[in-house]
Amino acid sequence: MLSLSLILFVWSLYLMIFDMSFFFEFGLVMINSSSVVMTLLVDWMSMLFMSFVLFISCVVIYYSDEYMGGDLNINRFISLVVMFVFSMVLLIISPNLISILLGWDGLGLVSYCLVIYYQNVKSYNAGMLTALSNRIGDVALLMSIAWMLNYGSWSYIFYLEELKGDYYMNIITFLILLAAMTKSAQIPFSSWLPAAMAAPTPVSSLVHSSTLVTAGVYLLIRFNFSFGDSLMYFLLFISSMTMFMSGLGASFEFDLKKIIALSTLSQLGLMMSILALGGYKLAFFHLLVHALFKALLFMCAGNVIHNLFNCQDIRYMGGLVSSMPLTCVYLNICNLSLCGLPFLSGFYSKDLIVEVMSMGYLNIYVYFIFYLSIGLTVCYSFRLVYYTCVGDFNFFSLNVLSERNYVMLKGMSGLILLVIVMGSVLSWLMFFYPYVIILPFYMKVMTLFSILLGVFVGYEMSKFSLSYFNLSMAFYKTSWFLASMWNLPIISTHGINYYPVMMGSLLYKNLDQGWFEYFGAQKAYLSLVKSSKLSQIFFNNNIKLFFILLVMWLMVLMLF
Amino acid sequence: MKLYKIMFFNMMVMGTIIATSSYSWFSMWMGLEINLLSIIPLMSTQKNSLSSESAIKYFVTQALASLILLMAAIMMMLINEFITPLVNYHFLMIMNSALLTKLGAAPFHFWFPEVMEGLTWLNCMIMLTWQKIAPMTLIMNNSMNPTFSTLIIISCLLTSAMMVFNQISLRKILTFSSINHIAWMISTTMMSSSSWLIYFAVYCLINMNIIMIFKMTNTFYLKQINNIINTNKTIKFSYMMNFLSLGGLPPFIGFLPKWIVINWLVNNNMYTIATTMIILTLIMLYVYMRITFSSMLLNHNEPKIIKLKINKMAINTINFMTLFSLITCTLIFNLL
Repeated sequence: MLSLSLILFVWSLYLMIFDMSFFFEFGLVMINSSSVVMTLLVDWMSMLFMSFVLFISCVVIYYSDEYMGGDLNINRFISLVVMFVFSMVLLIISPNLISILLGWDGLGLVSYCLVIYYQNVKSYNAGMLTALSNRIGDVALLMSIAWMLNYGSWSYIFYLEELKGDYYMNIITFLILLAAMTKSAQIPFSSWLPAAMAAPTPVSSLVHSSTLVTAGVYLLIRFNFSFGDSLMYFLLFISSMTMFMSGLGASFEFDLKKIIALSTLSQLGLMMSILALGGYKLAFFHLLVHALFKALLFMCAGNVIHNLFNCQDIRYMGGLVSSMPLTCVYLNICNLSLCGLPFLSGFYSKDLIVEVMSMGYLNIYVYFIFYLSIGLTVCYSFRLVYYTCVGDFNFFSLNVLSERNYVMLKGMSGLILLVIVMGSVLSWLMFFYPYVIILPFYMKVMTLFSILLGVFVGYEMSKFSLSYFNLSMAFYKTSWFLASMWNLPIISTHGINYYPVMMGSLLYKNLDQGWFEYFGAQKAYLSLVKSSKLSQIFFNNNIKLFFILLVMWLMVLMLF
Repeated sequence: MKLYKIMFFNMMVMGTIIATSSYSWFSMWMGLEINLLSIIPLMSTQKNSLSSESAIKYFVTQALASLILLMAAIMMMLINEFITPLVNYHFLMIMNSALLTKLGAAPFHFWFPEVMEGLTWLNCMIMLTWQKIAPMTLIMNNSMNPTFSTLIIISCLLTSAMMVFNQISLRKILTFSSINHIAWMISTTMMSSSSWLIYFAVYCLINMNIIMIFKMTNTFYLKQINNIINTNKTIKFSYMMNFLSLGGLPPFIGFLPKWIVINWLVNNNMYTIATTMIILTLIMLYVYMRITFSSMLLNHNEPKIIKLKINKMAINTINFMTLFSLITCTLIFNLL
């Protein structure tokens, strides 16, 4: 897998430099002059993404050899992960909606299997939430396949720019957007992403860096040529809200993995919003860089959790820097890279995105929500560092903390170099000529300012010690609301479950078994029987009556 | 079979043909009278006193209707000589009322179940099928007032739906079902005669099929239907499907004429009457299903002594034709 990844990387460089793309098409069947084909698109984008995915998955599999070492079903686990990566690869290289659906559904199914890997009620619930949320996206994709039939082929790549603004294309792009929103956990569908943390940590590392959640972004990157203005505004609003919401949520969360998951969500929002602003290359750039440091971040978290007997609550941690120095160093590098500290890899993508956004002439809402979210990213990152790495150790007094798990460390070390340098490397590779950024000084340092503000707030808000009043507890209900992702988990579990079922039982009781039964079927039957009995009276000695009626009718007709 | 019945049967057929193919109202009336006078001897049997009662009832009713018809024709002739713009609609309505009485359409239907109740199944079949032809074609010659015809249609549907609900006599059920179908046929006469022909042909086919089995098994009441042809499940099943076909359920041939009628009505923007017809016919369908279900699903007994001797091949063939001809025709025409 590693060698394949390197080969693909070199190939992508080749394709990038010569600006080429290969297109393979295998015709399967022809239905009503619409050809169903299996298509492979080999251009620099898919090759680069695939090389990243393969590299990260190879590191993760290596890592999980030790992390899942004592597990009985490790073979099943590894094969699931491989299937997962395979579906992702299928999704990446196919520019055809039907073959995308293969990868897309494969991702949904295997992610369900992985989330419920630890078989308990919590992970079953999380898995069901994940699977059903993603199912909405599957349905949207299926519907867009149905609409695509109008064009005679499902290779969308040919129709994107030609048919932009077409009515059918609008519907298709809307459905694709819906699918991508579910996969990338944008706002109405965000609740599954933290819930999916019930999966084993290596899976989280793989899922939240480069595979599952980025599938939506990747699909939108492919489709972005055909988006209309209103759809872009919609996407911008939704994704910026997601970015802001998850940043806030992460600042109040105490579960180590959930914090990182929410930060992933925030970064996804960032990618989506810059995509909505038109910078699809920037979104792709951030996607790749983010994949690297987020994978490593999760692996560090996994190492910590592994050493603390699977305890994920960050309030138990602290002072780990003295016992697990290398892990903490990696964690810090990733965190700082995530914050966009200059000259780490995250800086190159994030700074560019924010500056391109500042160069645009959008409204003040977009401007501030970007900077607020960047500040929040720094805030929760430093809060995480405060809770885990420094201070006192708050776990059991009897414990074993060591960094003897060399396999995991080796796996993590495979990524660290890339986390540091890949941002700059990719920025030099992907952008042949530099972006022209012209900004006033204060707007230029706005990023740095918001980062510093985030550091301050993140440290101050989370300070705690014995008999110390935690500041966020002063606004307990507000914190609760913000920490629970603006009630999204409640809406997407209780809201779509309890209320419809309740409504159904009410309707069933009052209508089906009540009014409709009485005034519907029974009443119709009874009234028919009654009227039938009534009209049967006419048939007693009727012939005379009938003749009289007939003659009288004729008289009436004659008279008038 | 008595020899004179052959003669009267031929006379009856001829009367209808005279009525339908003649050019003047007088000869039309003549045809109707020949038809009436020759069906009376066909009805009466020595073994059953009810039959002569119903024959008398039928005779009086039809004679009165013929009288009115003749009177209306003469008066129209006297007043405006059938010149179209001058035609008095009242006289036309009188004429149509007379014809509808002959037909047994709803407000003039009171004689119909009474007469039917006393007849044998073969006579019933003649009454339900052949006796409809002459009045119906004559109605088609008159241009009926749309309001009047709509009233007739709705009253036909309502009466048949209401009355059939409490009946246990199969002859009465078939009578009211016939009134129901008359409503549909009258709606076709408003628009196209060819669709009337299709409707009538299909109706006759299904009705003949149903009545043949009733005649073979001597079944007159709803309860008896549980006991018939229980020895042969295939025939019973396909026979019961005929009722669904009569009700106009889609895969069967009975759906085709209703489909054509609805199509015509919708094309002529008569949505309301089409909807009313469909909804009121549902009640008829309910009754057909009541006949079918109780005998097929709820109640079952198999006599060991009485074995029905029927020509399975013929019945199966006719059943197959009436049930699946829509499907087979569609397939054949699509394949060709």
